[in-house]
Amino acid sequence: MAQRKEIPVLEFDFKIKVGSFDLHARGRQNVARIGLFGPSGCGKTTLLSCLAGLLCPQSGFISLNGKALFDSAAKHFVPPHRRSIGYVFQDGRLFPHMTVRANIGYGRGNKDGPSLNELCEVLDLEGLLEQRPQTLSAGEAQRVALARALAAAPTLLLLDEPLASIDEAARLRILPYLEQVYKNWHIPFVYVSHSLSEIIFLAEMSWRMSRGKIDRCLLPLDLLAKSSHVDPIQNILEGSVNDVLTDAGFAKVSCGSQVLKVPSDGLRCGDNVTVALPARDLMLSLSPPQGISARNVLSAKIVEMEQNGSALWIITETGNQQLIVELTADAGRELDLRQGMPVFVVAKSHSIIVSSLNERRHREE
Amino acid sequence: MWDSAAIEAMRLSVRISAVSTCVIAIAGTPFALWISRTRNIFSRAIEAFLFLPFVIPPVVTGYLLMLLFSPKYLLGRWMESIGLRFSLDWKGAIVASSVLAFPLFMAVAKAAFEGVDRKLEDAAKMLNANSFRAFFTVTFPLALPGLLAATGLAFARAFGEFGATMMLAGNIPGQTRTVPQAIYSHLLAGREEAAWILVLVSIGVGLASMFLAQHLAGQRLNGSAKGNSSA
Repeated sequence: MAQRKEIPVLEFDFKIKVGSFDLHARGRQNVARIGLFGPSGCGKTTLLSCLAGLLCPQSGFISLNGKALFDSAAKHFVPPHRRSIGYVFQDGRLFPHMTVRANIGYGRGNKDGPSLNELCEVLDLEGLLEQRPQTLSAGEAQRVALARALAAAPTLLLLDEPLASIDEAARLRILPYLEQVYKNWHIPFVYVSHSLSEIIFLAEMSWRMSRGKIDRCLLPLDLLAKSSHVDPIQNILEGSVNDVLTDAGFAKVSCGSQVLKVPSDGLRCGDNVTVALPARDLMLSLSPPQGISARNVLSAKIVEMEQNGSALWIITETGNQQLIVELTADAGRELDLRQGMPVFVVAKSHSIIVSSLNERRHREE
Repeated sequence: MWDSAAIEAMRLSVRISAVSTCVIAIAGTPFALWISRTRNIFSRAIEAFLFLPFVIPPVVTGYLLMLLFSPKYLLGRWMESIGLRFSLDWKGAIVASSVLAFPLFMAVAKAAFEGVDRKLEDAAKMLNANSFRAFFTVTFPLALPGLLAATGLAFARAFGEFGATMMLAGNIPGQTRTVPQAIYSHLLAGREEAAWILVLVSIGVGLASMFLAQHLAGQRLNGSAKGNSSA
C-alpha cells in the first residue's frame, strides 16, 4: 500500500464564461477530502473541468502544490494529460472497445500507482476484468471508472457526481468503496454531489456553490445551515450484521459501538452493510421512552444545533457515531433543547435502509 | 463468354477503383475528421463544394473536369509541361472516379466520426494521454468500422463510375474502357450477351460492398445492444 501522501494545496481564482453562464471561482484548500455541493446548473462541472484542464478559463490562475496549472497573466496552460489529475465522470466514460482490464490499464504509466491486484481487492473487480463495459451494471461501471482513474496514480482525484445515475441501494453499496479508496491510497479528492448525505459521509469540509460563486463550509452543520432546499438527509453508517433473527423479522447490525435493529430481509450473519438513517425519521426524547413500538433507542448527547428556516438541525453524538436529527423548529422550542443535553435518539427499524455489500456474492451463489 | 476484352475491362476497373479508393481514404479520412469537428462557414462551404458531384449529373462534373484539365487552359497546359496528362488517359479515369466517389466516402466517414462520443477523448486525456494518443487509441478504433464501410462503398461507387469518366478519360480499349464503358460499347454494338456478363459483375461488386458495409455497421450495433440486454 502507498505511503500517506502530502496533502496538496489547491489554489485558484479564475473567471470563465461558458455561453451565457459566468463563473468566478475562488478557493484555497489544503484539505484532503473536499465536498462540492450545489444545485444543478450552478457550475460544479465547469469548475472541475477548469481544474482538470478540459476547459481553459478566460482569466486568473490555478495552482496545485505551488505549481501553476494555469496563469493567464503568464499565458501558461498545462494540458490535462500533464496535470496528474484523475477524473471520474458522472457517466463513467469507459472505453467501449476495451475490456475492463484494458480500461484500467490505459492510464498506467511507469508510475507507482496501485497495482491491478490491489484495485481488484479493494473495489471488488475480480470477476469483471475480461468483460466489456457494455455488460456492466451502472454501479460496477463506476467502480471500474474509479479503478481506472486510480491506476494512473493521480495527485488529486476529481469525482463528478459519480453516483448520480445509480439507484439508491447501489449507491449505498458504493459509498464505502470510496471511503476505502481514501483509506488505502490517501489520494486527496474533490467530491461533487447534489446529495448532502454523501458529502457529509465522505468529506472533511465542503464548498457550497451557488450562482457561480463558492463558499467554504464546515461539515456538517455549516453546510446544512447555509443550504436551502436540500434533499432529505441520511446518516450513512457502515456496520456488520451480528445476528439475524428471522422469526422476529429483524437483524442486529453493529455500527461502531452501537447496535441497530433493522429489517432482516436478505441479510446474513457476517454481512458488511451500509445503513442509512433518514434524519427526518429520527425522533428525540428527553427521557428513556417507554411503551413505544420503535425498536431502536440510543442514548446520546446534543453536540451542536442550528436552525435553517423551519428546520432545526441537531447533531447528536452516540458512542463514537454522529447522528444528524432534523426536527421542526417548533418541536425544538417545546423541548427546550440545548447544546450538551443528554437525549435519546429513537428510530423505527423500518425507517432504516440497509444495503448489503455482499449482495452480489449472494446472487452468484 | 469471358473474352479478353471483358477481362481487360474488369482488370482496368479494379485497378482504377483501387487506386481511387486509396486516394480517397488517405485524403478523405483526415478531411472527414476535420469536417466532423469544425462548424464554421468555411468548412461548410468546402464540404458543400466537395459534395456537389454527388447531386449534380456526373456528365456535368466530367465536363468541368475536362475543361479544368484541358491542355488548352492554364492548369492542363502546366500539367502537360511536367508530363502529367489526364484527358483521354487512364489517370483521368482515376481523377473522375475519385471525385465522384469522394462525397459518398466523406458522408459515411463523417458520420462514423460523429458517432464516437468526443467525451471519451476527454476521459483519455485525464488518463495522461496526449491528444494524439487519445485520438488513435479511442476515437479511431471506434470509428474504424464506419471508415471501412465508407471505403467499401467508395470502391463500389468508383467501380461503377461512367459519366464523368467518359467525359474526361474517354472510352479507349485497354486504357480507359472500364466495365461500365465496356457495357456501353457492347450495347451500342448490339452485343447484349457480352454486356450481360459485365452487368452481373457490376451487380456483384455493388452487392459485396453493401454487405460489407452492413456487416460493419451491424458489428457496431451488436456491440452496444449486447450491453443493454444483460445490464
